[in-house]
Amino acid sequence: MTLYSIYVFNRYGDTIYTKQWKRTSAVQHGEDGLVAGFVYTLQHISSQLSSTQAGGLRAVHTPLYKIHYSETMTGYRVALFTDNAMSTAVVQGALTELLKDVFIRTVTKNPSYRHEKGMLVTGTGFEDAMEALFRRKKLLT
Amino acid sequence: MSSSAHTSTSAAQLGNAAFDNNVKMSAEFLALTYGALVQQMVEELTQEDAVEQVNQQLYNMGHRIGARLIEEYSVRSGAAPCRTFSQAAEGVALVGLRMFLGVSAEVAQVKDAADTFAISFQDNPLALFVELPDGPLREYLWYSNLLCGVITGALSLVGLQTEARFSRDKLRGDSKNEIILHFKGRERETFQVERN
Repeated sequence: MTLYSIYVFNRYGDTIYTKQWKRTSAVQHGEDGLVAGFVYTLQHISSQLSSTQAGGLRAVHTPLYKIHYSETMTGYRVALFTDNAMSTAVVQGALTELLKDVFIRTVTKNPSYRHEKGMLVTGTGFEDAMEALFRRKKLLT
Repeated sequence: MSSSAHTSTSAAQLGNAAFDNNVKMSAEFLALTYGALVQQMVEELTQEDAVEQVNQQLYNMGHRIGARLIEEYSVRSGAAPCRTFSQAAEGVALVGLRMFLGVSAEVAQVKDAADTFAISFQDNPLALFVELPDGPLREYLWYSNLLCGVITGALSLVGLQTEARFSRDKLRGDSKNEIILHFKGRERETFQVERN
């Protein structure tokens, strides 16, 4: 089981956090914007096609990799790229905990962070707490 | 009517559950801390009657607080995203105020205004030990104006443009506390990806 990369976007479409793990291709300039547009569009398509009000994007499966998605009520969105063996349910649980616990604890409650356009997640302890969570969930070794 | 009553009951139950599950702190500590804040703002006024400045400072501070509290509300209250102004007003009055302050509030739509709601409550934990002296403070100060800022700050982060203001305050001699919440509309979509 492999993690390739993660992106966190705010409600303005800014990439406020990103990290690469075991990806095999070079990072392309502007790639984060493409990921943002991709998951944003798919989330809207999924919601509108849903026959219940609980619909929405969970994961996209390709022949080579998988993109997992989760979001908050306030418009923070996370996209996690993994290999195809990653269980959607396990990753959903991890991303939910990432946004419900880690993000609130290290970002929202951090006085140095503000919910503004262009505000990046740096120096908040988010990365350490995120990786600790992923190790606990056995997503990272 | 039964549908509306059911919704109100659900929101109230969410509020009670969120309050019960929350880590508690001393109401006296919060009240005294807030009192010290307001008192310092008043003392720093260069003109005794420029009380509106304190109201504005409290509102601005509350707006920034609300922008963070909404995250905790969305996670810990279990409330679903609001789809109508009425649901949002109930979320504020029956869930949010209950969850964070233990307030038992009521919410009613203002007559002939589909986008305006009155949130009223008897006990105000922020004003636990407070008396306002006669004069400019009693006449112009909305002591708990921070709450109005919290409400609009929180709602702005879920895409709702609102105005909130106190219309009644027991500290001024009114029979109850009342906040008028006016929905100005939904924020246009802010998510925008720049092509590099």
